[in-house]
Amino acid sequence: MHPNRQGHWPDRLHRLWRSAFAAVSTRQFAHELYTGLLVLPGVRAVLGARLSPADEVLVTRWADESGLSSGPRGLAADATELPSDPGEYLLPLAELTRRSPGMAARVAAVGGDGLLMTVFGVAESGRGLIALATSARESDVDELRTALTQVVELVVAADHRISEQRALEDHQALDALLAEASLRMDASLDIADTLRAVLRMVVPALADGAAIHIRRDELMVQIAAAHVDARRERLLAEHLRGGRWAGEPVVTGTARAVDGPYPAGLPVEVGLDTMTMGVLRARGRDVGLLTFFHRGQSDRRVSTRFLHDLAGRAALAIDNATLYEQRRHDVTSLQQHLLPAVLPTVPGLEFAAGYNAADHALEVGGDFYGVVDQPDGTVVALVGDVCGRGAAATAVTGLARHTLETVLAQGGPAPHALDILNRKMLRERISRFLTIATATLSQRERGEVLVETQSAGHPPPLVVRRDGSVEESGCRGRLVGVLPRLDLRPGVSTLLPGELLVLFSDGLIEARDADGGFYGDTELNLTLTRSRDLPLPAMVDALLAGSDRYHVNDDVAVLVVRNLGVTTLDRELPPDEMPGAVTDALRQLGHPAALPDHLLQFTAPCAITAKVSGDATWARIELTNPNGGTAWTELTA
Amino acid sequence: MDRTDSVIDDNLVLVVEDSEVDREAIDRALSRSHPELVLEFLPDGNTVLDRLRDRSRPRPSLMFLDLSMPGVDGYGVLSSVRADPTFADLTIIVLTSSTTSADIDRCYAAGADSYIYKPVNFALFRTVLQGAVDYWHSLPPSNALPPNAP
Repeated sequence: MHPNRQGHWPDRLHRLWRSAFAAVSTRQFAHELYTGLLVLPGVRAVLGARLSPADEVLVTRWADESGLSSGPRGLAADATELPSDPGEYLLPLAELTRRSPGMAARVAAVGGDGLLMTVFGVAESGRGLIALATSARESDVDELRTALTQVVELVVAADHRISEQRALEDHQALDALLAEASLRMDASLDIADTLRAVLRMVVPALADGAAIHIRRDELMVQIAAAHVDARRERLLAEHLRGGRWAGEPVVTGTARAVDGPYPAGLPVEVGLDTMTMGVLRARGRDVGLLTFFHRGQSDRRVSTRFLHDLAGRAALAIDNATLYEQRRHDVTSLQQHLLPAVLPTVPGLEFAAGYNAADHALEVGGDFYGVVDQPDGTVVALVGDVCGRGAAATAVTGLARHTLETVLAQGGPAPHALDILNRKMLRERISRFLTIATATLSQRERGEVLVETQSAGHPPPLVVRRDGSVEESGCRGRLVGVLPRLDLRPGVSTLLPGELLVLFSDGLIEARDADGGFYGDTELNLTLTRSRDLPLPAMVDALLAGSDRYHVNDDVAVLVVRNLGVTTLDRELPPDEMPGAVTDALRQLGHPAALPDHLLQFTAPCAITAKVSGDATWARIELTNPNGGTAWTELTA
Repeated sequence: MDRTDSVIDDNLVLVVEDSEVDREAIDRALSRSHPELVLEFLPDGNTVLDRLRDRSRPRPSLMFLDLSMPGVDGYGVLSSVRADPTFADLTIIVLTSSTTSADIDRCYAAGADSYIYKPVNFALFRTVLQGAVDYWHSLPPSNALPPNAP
């Protein structure tokens, strides 16, 4: 009887075709396929297997009246004993027993007395096997052959479609990897970290191991290695570093990379047999190496074209990051040369300055600061800000600093120096302007310092009093380089010992929080009050750091001056002599306080540098040990 | 039966993943690349040890473990599973969207066998999972490093 006339077989076959063409794997229609065959007359069980080109059994399935199972124990071994050449076979139980006793036992166990099987080609040079365990008494072999032929046609068609779909998806996976890797490399300038992440995408998607080297100081340096097996990852990295691999001549520059795959030359313990290497080239220069490693039997080798594509993108990212880093270094270096390397030492005064470059900028900023000694002992502190950034602003910064410091160093008063600079800029038709604040500090009796401030369009300096209150000096004036007259109006005040003068550029007060609030409006005074007794460099750092809530969009220059008054102790002492020396120094100031307990407990193994300064009503004690440890206090009578 | 007598099913894979979308993606991916595998899913890390110690069911030979999960996270699962020598032969593959060195080092220190980046693209995700399973399933036992290997 023809199977098409047998019950529901035509319906089942029709449904099977529909299912097979909707499936993305043969597993998805396996149940329908196996149970469909199982209802054919005389069929007691259905066996299916997929074989590799090397006759390895990759997948086995068995269906009988108890259901369908995938990979039941021992079935693969039994299946290897069956014929594997394409064709149709009818194996009676006796013959089956000779070939595969295990399979014969399985057939007999379900009441079968023979195996009707067909072996056929499937995608990727593999083979498929479908076999029916039959009872000869109940079955019609011709009908079952027809059914098997129909099923094989269906399976082969579905398998080829699925394989083509997989090939397309593999291609999509490569595209996705390139896209994601490119996105990461474009979004980050930390190239080493980014390339490490790229390796994590490559392994194990495309390779069992991978490594990347980049050129640093003319040497190829391994920056990352990845292995799908965590315990072998460190082995891989160590052997690569030790030169125990076939790519070492390329790393050392004694050989050129050639397209692989070829033996990796790694010790067996690493478990990677072959490698493919791609050179990262940018602007005609080898900037790195990208290597994929595979096990011998791996079938996931990517094309050299893909490797070179990924390598090309990585090379571009390295080149961009290198250029950025070089430019950042040049900018930092130039910026440092526009600022004084050290501030002068002036008895009774302490200076500290800091500069914060805007985080988005790759150009030299126009902020500057300086301190100039004048022949009569007067000191002029200044902070300026040239409009704009880059080379043009840098040139004006150099001109301003040179002009001002030359005039001031010769004893010229600050307003005169500013006027000369203004006229020079107008005469030379310099299109940029600048703002500047100066503070001329003259020491008076009893440690007091007279301060005269000037502001040419610049934020006026601030005075921090002993009690923590903050006052703005009342100086005013016009921008430098715009109008012939600056109309400077000075501010005058007196700094008592312990009081501070703070000069800064507008980047400090214009730092904004997320709500648009200015640091200068909300927290600057509070920060000055709270940090006024810190060692001066720490106070500058506190100002530059601002608050976590604020984002500085502009360069910031800060210069702080502390009036120390009279210094009665400033030297290195054995630790046991420190308390006595500090007590004597306080006594010389006429200050009534004793050395506080927390300073008495400050110790050092060999020596302590002790500084005491102030007057009869205010004193500052600062202790430093050779390790950089510092303790301090301010005493107000 | 002693706990150590549990049968290990080489084709059984335990997937510990809280995201339903990711569970579905793993199922789709592995059913296509490795139809022979039987996948068992747990939606969190709280019951992993109970499942592994369940003597009534075969033990998986491989576990995919998501790192970021509510309750006991992947690190917690890793630590507790590796603390029990009974499960020393269980291959644990960590799935995560992080590629930072610190996270990788932490997973390796906790006993992960593989660290796998979880890409957004499904085709790439399938390829990643396939690569990991291919590696661990094809590794002959004689080629395996001892657990305390460097």
